[in-house]
Amino acid sequence: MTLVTDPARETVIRKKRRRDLLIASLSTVVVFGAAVVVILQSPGWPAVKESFLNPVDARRAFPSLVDGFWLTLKLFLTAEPVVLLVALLIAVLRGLTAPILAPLRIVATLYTDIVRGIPTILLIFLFGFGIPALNLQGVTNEPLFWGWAALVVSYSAYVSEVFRAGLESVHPSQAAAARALGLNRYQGLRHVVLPQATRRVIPPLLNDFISLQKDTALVSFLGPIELMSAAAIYANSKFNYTPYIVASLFFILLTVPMTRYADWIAARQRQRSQSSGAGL
Amino acid sequence: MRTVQPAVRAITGAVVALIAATSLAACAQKDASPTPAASGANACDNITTKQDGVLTVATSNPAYPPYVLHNDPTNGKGFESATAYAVAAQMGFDASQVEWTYAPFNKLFAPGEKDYDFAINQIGITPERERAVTFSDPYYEAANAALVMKDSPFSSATTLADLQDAKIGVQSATTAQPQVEAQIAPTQDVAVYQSTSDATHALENGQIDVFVTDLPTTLYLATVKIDGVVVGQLPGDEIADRWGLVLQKDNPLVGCVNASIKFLQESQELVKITDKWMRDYVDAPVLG
Repeated sequence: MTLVTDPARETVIRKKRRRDLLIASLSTVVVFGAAVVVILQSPGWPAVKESFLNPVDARRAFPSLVDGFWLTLKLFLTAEPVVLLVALLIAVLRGLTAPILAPLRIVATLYTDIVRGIPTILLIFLFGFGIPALNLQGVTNEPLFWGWAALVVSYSAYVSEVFRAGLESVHPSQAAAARALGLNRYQGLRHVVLPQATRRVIPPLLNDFISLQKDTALVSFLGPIELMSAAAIYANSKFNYTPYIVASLFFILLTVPMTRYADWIAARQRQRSQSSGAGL
Repeated sequence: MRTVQPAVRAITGAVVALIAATSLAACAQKDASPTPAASGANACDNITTKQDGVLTVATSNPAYPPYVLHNDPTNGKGFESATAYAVAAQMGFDASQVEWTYAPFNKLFAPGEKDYDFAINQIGITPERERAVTFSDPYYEAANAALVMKDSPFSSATTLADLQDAKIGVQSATTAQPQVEAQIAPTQDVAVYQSTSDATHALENGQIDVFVTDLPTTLYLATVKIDGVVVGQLPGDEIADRWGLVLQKDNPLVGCVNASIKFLQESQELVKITDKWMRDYVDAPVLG
């Protein structure tokens, strides 16, 4: 049943809505249209179009970009699970209060502090060129492996802080309630606290995942050709920037579905926490 | 009765005015017309440079020997440093009127105004590259060569086929990569590095077996930097690198630059410069 029953008032509301929609559409078209006009009319536009939006170069670069993209995919799809595991471990370690575990807590804290202080590109160089230079026995010199390891180490430090924030955001009454039910510390962590903590930090976790996808480009400094370096090779050889635009489109195609998924999860979270039903 | 609120009217008016103003500004054509290229006797009359009375030359940072010594192009030492000063002198700029600036490689072909008159950095002339910049006539022709560590199993290679199973490294955007893939057809993927020093590290670490880059660089590395040996040059033919100076697209200065290069070639001065700085770095057998 609608709240407004007076037909005259309904008409006024309907007319206002239509007018608002018209104004909004016109304003959007005018502003964006003006921006487009300004860009297209600028004196340097033909040169920029030739350099950044050239369909011939896009087509020619495409095969090598796809090859590079496979490596990018492989890198971040294998790195992310390991990052999540290591980060979770570090976050949990920092949260344990038993005195005998003090050395572990110190190591975990030092790890996050120091690794987050070192730029990721520097870690890549240290791992990729430095470790092989040590000539250790039985250890591979493969640049792809060390680049991957550097990414994992770097991102675990950042993601562990995200997990720690999630763990600390779960109200202590949850842990207390778990103890009251007879679960020991670790069971309480595993079955009560951790699931809630993880659900809460899914948006920032996805954020870091998207960031990891971009940082796989740093591995190219060690030799392997991934998407961005494939674009760079074509760009620097043929003196044209279009491959970079195409590579960006690859990334956008990857990122957009994931951000929508993250939004959906966050919305579902909100619904759950605001609903009056039973359950966590 | 419908009234548009005064605030909305004001904002709308402001937006419309802003759009009109920016459209007009964008439509404004730059009125610079290029100075007609001087023909005939002196191509260097009436030239305009970025800064009056100064020739601005760009190169990379770091700049490597034997092209620039000690990463300081102002000392005139090194093949490209010396060549730049020689060309400048023919254009009418003595050593004190030459200024150096840094141009990273991937900015060389950005559209728009350059902040230098020409760039010198072992840049190969290709038709595709000519879409984005103007090249001078070539001042050097360089072969690519293969560098290996002395204790490498590939140090005894004498033919291209001997290198097929090697892990080969090249520098990004050089002609080495297509040449390696065309002439050697390696079984392992080629590794691509951003700089000479990264590739050299990889070679020393055993992450690559062979580093293919221009011959003078490989010989310099082998004799001065690492315990390496140049097993040979890759055969020349159509992939041979001809290096040119890079100018902004359609810069009329190229007429004067080319006249200077031509003079240096005909007077043998360019040969003397090449000989002086590159003599130790040009001799290697050609791989069959």
